[in-house]
Amino acid sequence: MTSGVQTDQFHIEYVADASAAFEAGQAASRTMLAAVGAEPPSLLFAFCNGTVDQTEFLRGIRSVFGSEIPVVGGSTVGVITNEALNYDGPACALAACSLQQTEVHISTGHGLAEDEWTAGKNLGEAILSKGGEAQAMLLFYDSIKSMATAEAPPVLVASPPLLAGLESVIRDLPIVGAGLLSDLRMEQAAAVFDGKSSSTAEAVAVLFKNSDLHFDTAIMHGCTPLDGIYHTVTRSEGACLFEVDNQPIANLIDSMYGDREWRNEVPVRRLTIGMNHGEKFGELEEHNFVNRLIAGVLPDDGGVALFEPDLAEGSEIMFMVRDPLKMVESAAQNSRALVRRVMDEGRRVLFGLYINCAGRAASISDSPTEEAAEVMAALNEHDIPLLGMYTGVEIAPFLGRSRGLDWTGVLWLVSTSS
Amino acid sequence: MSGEGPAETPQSQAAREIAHYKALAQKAGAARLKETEALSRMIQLRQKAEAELQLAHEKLEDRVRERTAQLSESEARYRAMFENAAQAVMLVQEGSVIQVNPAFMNLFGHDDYTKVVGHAGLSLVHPDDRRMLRQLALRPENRLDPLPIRGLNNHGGLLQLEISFSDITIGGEAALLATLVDVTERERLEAEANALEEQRQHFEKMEAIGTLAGGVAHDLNNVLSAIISYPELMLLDLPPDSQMADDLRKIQTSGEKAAAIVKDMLALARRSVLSLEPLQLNTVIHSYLNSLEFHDLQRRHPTILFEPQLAEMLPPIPGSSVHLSKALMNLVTNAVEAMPNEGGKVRICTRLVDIQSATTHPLPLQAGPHVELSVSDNGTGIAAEDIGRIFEPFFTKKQMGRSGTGLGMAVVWGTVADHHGGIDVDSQEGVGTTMKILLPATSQSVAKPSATAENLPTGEGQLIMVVDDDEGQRSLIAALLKRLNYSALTVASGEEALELLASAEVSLMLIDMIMEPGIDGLETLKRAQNIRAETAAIMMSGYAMTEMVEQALELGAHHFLQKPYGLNELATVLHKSFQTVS
Repeated sequence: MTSGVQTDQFHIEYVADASAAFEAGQAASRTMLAAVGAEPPSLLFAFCNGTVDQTEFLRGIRSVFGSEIPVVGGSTVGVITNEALNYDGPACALAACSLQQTEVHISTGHGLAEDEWTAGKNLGEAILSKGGEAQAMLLFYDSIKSMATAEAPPVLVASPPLLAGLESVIRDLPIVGAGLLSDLRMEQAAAVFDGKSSSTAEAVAVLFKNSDLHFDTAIMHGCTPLDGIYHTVTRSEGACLFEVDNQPIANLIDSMYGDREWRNEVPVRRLTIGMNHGEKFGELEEHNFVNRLIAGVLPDDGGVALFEPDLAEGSEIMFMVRDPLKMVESAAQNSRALVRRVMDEGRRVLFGLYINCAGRAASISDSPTEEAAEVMAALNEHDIPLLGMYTGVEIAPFLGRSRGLDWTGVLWLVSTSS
Repeated sequence: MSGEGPAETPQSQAAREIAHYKALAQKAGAARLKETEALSRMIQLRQKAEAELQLAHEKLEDRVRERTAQLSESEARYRAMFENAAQAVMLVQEGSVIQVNPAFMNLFGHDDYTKVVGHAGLSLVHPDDRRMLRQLALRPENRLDPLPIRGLNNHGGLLQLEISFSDITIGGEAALLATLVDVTERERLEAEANALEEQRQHFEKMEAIGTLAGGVAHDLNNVLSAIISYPELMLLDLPPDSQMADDLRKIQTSGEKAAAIVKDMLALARRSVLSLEPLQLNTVIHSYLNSLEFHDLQRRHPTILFEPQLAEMLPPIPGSSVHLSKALMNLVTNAVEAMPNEGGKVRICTRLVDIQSATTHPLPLQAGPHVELSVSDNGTGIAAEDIGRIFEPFFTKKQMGRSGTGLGMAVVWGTVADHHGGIDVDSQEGVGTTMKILLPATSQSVAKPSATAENLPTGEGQLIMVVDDDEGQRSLIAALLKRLNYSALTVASGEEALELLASAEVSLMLIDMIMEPGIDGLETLKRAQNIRAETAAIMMSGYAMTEMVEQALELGAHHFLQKPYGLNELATVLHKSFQTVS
C-alpha cells in the first residue's frame, strides 16, 4: 500500500495487491482514516480491479468507516492514482472526500438489463425526488447487459437511451461518468457500489448540491480524421452499420486498408467512426468529435458493429484514425490545459477524477507509453489528488448534452475559488 | 476547335475537382492508415519483445530463486556439518579468525564468540609456536600435515594439538581452513605406552640378569656356604683372643659380603622371594648407622655431616632388614658421593604418611598408613634427562671401578618393589637430591630377636638325612648338624635317599632341590612321602624360591633354606621344624 496523496478535502490511497480483499480494504481505510483526522469523510470513492472480491473489499472499508458514509464506485478493468496505474493485477484505489459545504445526494437506478431508457428515467425521478439544485452529477453503471459466453458475444448497456431516459426527467445537468467493466473479456458483470452496497445491473448517481465547488471537464481522445471526407449512413440498425454512401461499409474499409486483415481485429484497432459536431467545413477540432469504436465486422461480412447504437441512417460520419502517439499527446495537452485554465481562473484544484477507456491502455492500444501517465504527471505537478479507473464507456457533457463516448479519457476536476 | 467535346460546365468541373481531391484525400488517408498500422505493429512487436524479455527475466529470476534456494540448502547442510563437526574448525583470513565452530569453542574453553572471532588466530597459539606458524604462512609448501602445535585455552592452559590447513577462497579472498585435534589424551596414552614399554624392557633386562645370576648362584652359593660356615665352626673351637679367630672372622665376613652380592643379583632379578617380617624401619636405620660399612663411609668422608631425623612411634612395616639395610646403604652412599667437594650434609629422615586415596597419589600405592624414608643431600643433583634412568641396572655417572657397579639404585628399586612400596626422586642440579621411599605399614608386631650363637637351639641327637649331590655341601651340613647336636646321614642322590629311607630311622630330611643326575629334590620328597607319609623335610637350594620349592612346601616340606646359610639360621629352622613335628 502506498501512502496517500491529499489536499485538505480529498485523500487518495492505493493498494497494489488487494487479493486479500477484506484486509486490503480495511488497511487502506485505516490509513485513510488516520490521514483525514477526526472528521469523517462525507463520501468515499472506491474502485477495484475485477479480480478483487468486491463484496469483501467493500466489507473491509465498512469495517473501518461504518455503514453511514456512502461508498460509490465498483469494479473496473484497472485503477489510476497519483502514484500508479494498474490494469494487470488485483489493485484497488480509494478516495475520501470531505465536502463540508456541499451536499451529496446518492440515487440508484435499476433494471438496466431490461430497458436502459426506463432505468434512466427511474433514476432521474429518484434524483428529482430529493429536491435541490445540483451543480454536478457523477454516474456509474454496470456496462454488461449480458455477459460473453462461448456461444455469444457480450451485449453492453447502451449509454444513449440511458442518458436519454435520465435527461427526460433532469435537464441541463452536466453528467460525468462511466459504464463500468470488470474486465475486457466481459465475462462477468461489473459490481456497482451504490453508496450502501454492491450490486450489478444498476446505475448510481452522485449529485453535488448547494456546493461552493467548481466542476470542470476535459475530453481527450486523440482521434483524427482519416481523410476528411464525410460519408452518409445509408443503412443501419441499432449498433450495426451496414452501408455508407450506399456501399457496404466493410468493402469500403477493405479499400482503405488495401486488404482484409482488419476484419480479424476485435475491436478494430486503428479505425473508428467519428461524428463532427463542429462546423462541417470548418477546422476539424478534436473536441468537436464524438467517436465510435468499431467493435468488429459482422458475421455476414457486410456490416460492422459499433459500441453505441446512435448512428441512425442519414448521419454524417467521418472515418477516424486511432493514433497512439496522438492519443498520448492529446492526454498530455488536454489535461495540462484544463488544470492551467482552472488555475488561471483563480481556483484551487482539489481533486481530479479520470475516467479512461480501457482501450486506451498501452498494452491494448499499441501505445509506446501510457497516456494515463500524462494525466498523472499533469496533476502531480500541482499535487492534485487523482483517482481514476479504466472503463467501458465514458460519459461527459459535450456540446450541450451529456454523451456516452468511446476511446475517450474524461478528466473531471473539482476546484474551489476560496 | 473541331472535334472538341462539349465545353465543361462549371458544375462538372467542380465535381471533377472534388472527385480529384477526394481521391487524393482517400489516398493520403489510406497511406496514413497504413503508416499507423505499421506503427501499431512495430509497437506490438516491441511489446511482444518486452513481454518475452519479461518472461525470460522472470524465468531467470525463477532460476536465481531456485539456485538461491539450492545454495541456501547447501549452505544449511555445510553449516550443519561445520557446526556439528567433532573436530575443532577455524577459518582464518588475513591472520584474523573469521569463524569457528562449537567444537573449537569447547576445545579452547570459550563461550563468547566475540572473544575469538575477529581476533588474531595466533593469539590462540603458544608464543613459542607462533613464529613457526608465521613462517609456514609464508611458505605453505613447508607445511606438515598434521602439524603438532601447542594451543592456549581461555584459562591460559596448554593444549597439545595437531593442526591441518586447507587453502580455500572466501569472497574471492584467500583464507585458511584449520582443523585442530586435541592430542593431549593421545600423547598421555602414548607416554603411558612408552612407560610400559620401558618397564617391559626393564623387566626383560632384569630377567636377563636374573638368568645370568641364577646360572651362577647355585654353584657360587655352594662355594660361599663353605667359606662362611667353616670359619663359623672353627671359631666355635678357638678362644676369642686368638689371632686365627680374627682372620677367620675376616674370611667369614668376606664370604658373607660375597653372598650378599649374589643375593643382590637375585633380588635385582626379582627371582628372590623376600621373607618379609614385621620390623621397625628405624631399627634398620640405627643398625646401618652403627654398621662397619657406615663407619667406613664416615671415615672416608669426614667433612660430611649426617643428620638422622627419625620420627618416633612409627608403625612396623613388613620388610626384610637385610634388603632394606642394603637399600639404605646404597642411598646414603650415593648421597655422599654426590657431594662435589668436601663438606655437605646428608639427612636421613623417617615419618608417618597416611595416603588417603590410591588413585590420587602420584606413586602406585595403596591407601593407608605408610612409613616414609627419605635421604637428602645438597650435592650436585641429577640432570633432568638422567632421572628417568637412575634405576636402570648398570647405569652410573660415577667413574667405573672406583665406586659402585651400577646396581645400587637398581637394587633400591627392586627392594622397594618387593616391599610393595613406592619411590620418588626430587632433584635439582646444583641444589641437591631427595630420595623418598614409602613403605606400607602393618599392624603386626615386631618379632623378638632370634637366638644368638651362645644360645643356639640344639637337637637331641635326632637323625637327619642330608640329600645333596655336592660332596662339599654334604660335609659342611654334616659338620653343622653335628655342632647342633644332630646326627647326620648323608646321601648323594634322591634315589639313594629313598633306598635308605625305608630302613633308616630318619627324623627329618634336608633335601637339595637341584641334583644331577637322577631325580630332583621335589621328586625325592614326593617318593619319600609315598614310603613314609609323615616324612619331615626341609628343602635347600642355591637358587632363590622357585615354583618347585613352592610345590614342595605345598606337599608338606616344613621350610626352605637358601644357600648359603649360617649355623644360626640352620639351628632355628631345625628347631622350628621339630617343634612342628612334635
